[in-house]
Amino acid sequence: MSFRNILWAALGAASLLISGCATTAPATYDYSAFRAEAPRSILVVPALNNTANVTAPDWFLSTISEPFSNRGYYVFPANMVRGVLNDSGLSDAGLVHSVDARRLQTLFGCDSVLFINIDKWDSKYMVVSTTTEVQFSYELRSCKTNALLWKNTQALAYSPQRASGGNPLAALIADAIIAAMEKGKPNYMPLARQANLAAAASPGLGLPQGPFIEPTASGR
Amino acid sequence: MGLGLVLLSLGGCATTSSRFEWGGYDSALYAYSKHPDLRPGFETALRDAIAKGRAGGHLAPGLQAELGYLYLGEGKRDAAIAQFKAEMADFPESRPFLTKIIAQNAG
Repeated sequence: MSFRNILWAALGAASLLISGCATTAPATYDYSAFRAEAPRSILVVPALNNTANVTAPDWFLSTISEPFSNRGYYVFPANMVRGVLNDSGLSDAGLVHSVDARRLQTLFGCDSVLFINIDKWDSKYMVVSTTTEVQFSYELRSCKTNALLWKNTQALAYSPQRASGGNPLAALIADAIIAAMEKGKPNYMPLARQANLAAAASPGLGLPQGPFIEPTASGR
Repeated sequence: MGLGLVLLSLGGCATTSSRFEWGGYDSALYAYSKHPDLRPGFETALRDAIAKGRAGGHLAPGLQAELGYLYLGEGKRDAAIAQFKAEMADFPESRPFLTKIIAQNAG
């Protein structure tokens, strides 16, 4: 195999890997329901897992706040929300996803609530690497009316060993802790970050800009 | 060289310019979720991100409430309430929720 062939093979593999973030954008999302409510805050509840990967919901709970707050919204504290839900008899994600969003409004005073479904998580083990095919769906509902305000689907093919570039140093150090902690298990943190970022920020399909356009000294 | 370019392009794809300072929040929360004994690491990550965010004017939403909630679990009620009040002052969207939490833990 010549160097040129190797290069093309590598580029082909890379384009497969990044297919998740360069999603083909068909039509623009219809934001009329969203704009009519113009929510300022987003409550993130634990993801509903429809796959056999038991760890999947934890990757989402920890990575969802940053990309959605970056669109300009107040995102409720994910770990505290999980604890309060537990204390309110809503420890099961299936139960939380089945309740009327208006009940969550009485608990949290939220404008909107984000429901995430993990629909596919298939790992294919190959000689040198593992490719994992995943699919996630995102639904934002009004805490006032329970109406659907926005939805998005992300399908990605992902190889954990390759895609760790470009993270801030603090995240890299923390990722190294996870790697040490879960020896031999793939680190899906970059995958969850990428999927959530693509869902939140894809032009024409992600969330419109929220009210927090420029942060000030107090955090806004 | 070719692989270097590939890695660079991947990095570019995953990079985000963050509106807020989150520090190591996501990884520390994941670690704590999987292993509750790693709670001190989550607490440190929160404190660091809050200090950095405040200094740079990019304090992220929810971090002070998260720290307050950890304090509550440790029985540090006054420290917890101070964090909740700071969160409410910086992010009024949290007021209905945290007012209720403070009332539940008063007295």
